[in-house]
Amino acid sequence: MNVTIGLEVHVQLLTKSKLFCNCGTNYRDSEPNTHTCPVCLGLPGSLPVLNKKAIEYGTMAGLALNCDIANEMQFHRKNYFYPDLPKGFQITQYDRPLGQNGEIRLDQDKKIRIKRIHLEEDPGRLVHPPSARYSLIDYNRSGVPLLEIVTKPDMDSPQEARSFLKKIRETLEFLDIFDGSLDGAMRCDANISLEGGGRAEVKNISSYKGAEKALSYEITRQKNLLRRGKEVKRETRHFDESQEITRSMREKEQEHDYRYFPEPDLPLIQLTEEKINSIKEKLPELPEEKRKRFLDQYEITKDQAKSLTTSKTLANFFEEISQQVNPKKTATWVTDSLMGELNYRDQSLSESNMNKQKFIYILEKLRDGDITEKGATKIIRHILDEGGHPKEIIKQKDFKAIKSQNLDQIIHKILEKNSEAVEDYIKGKEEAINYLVGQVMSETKGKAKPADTRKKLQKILEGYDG
Amino acid sequence: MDKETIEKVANLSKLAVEEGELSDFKDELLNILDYFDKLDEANTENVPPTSHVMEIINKMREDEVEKELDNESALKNSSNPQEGYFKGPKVRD
Repeated sequence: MNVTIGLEVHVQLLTKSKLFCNCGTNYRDSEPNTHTCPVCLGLPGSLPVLNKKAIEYGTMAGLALNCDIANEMQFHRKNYFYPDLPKGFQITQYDRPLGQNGEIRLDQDKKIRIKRIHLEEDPGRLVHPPSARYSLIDYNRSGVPLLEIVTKPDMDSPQEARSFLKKIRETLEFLDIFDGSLDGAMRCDANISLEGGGRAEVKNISSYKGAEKALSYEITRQKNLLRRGKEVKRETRHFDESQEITRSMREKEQEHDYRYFPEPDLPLIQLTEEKINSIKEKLPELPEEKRKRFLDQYEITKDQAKSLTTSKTLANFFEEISQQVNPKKTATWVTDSLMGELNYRDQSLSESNMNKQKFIYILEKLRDGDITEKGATKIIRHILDEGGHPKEIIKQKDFKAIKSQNLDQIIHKILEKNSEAVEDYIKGKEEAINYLVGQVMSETKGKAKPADTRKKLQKILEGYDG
Repeated sequence: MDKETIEKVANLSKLAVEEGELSDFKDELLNILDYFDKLDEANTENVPPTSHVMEIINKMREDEVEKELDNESALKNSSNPQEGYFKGPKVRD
């Protein structure tokens, strides 16, 4: 059954001040209503003045998403009555948005067309204390710049919707105009329909994991209705993140009567081709370009180049370490070990205890044979879980690789203890050596290098034979 | 203009209109609409739409944080503050 999905994504732009006033945008760690002024409180007589940076960031995003950037744009008032909007309307863009007709490509070259992108102001934040008969309002978020990205209905599975959101996050983070790790910095609404059914608009999706879950739920719900010969109504539904289901939202039809009209307090914005080109020239390297360059420049695999460019932090981490340690080794240790351990802990590199100096230290010790691969993995885990510097950890935890003569002693001890396995090996049962290597590894708690151990064992056992 | 239209407009404007006032509103609204008909008589064929009377463009400001209101001042006009928030009727169930 054909599934059709289109998304409306809202992302907060990383300006210092709000879209139409000089209040700060760092509302997350603040007491309520401490970043406001007459403009973002909607007090009578106050006038909005547009933030230059927001236009620049919006244009950068538009260019990175391959949109046509408007040479002239305008703001409109979208009227609706809800307490998160103190003015009774939201300033947004309507028929003359910042950018149109863009596209991005997902993996496997799937093209997702972008219908339009536009700037608008974030509403305030409502708090609904449990069992209270009132709502509380915090206007710190009111007026934070949002970029809305509207796609054409080009996605055909929840996984694809998720990939699209990840791609948007990745792209905007590379531009340094967005930080997806901030709670609520990306929100989305999804339109989804199945062949032969009406379209549901799902609101309140706040993560790409959430998007995948909400859409999967909708597919099941709509399929079941169609299978039983029932009608899938065209309606708006609310995603309940804690229960991972969508619910029908009761709404009056007038709510959609937004009565858009031009914002008389904001003049037209003109962007000359020159201005657009100068922004274009300053665009940093985007993930796709970086991926290609990594592949050309370093001896790494396609998969490694892909994982290393999923975030700017990670790409820089890899590239700076590669200046000091072999890039191929670095790529392997970053993608296989470090990223795996971070994913397992649900941490991101920037919020973890790992840093470049520590990682370089580990890779250098490994290169010099002072620690084993197993030891290196243990040190990485220790740093992620408890912090600390590898130098200290190696000392404290005794992760130093075992020296050759000490290893000889241990091997002899193991051979004495396991005469049966030794005999098996001499009789020609070659896999018996694996058992002996395992015994040495467990005796040394992984501080011996398996390859060295095997070589030494083979040499000694050959002597037995003769 | 029918009753439903007047009620809808009143509703969107958050105005409580009593049954007895409907016909007065109807007359007033029709007057306004008549005026729009008058405006329609003007020939605007080659005139681009105007959304601003003043011909200014690109009036923008730098991205800088300036003085903000403290919590007390922000809530000063509120008849119903609570714990630093504006308090209002419950808007979601």
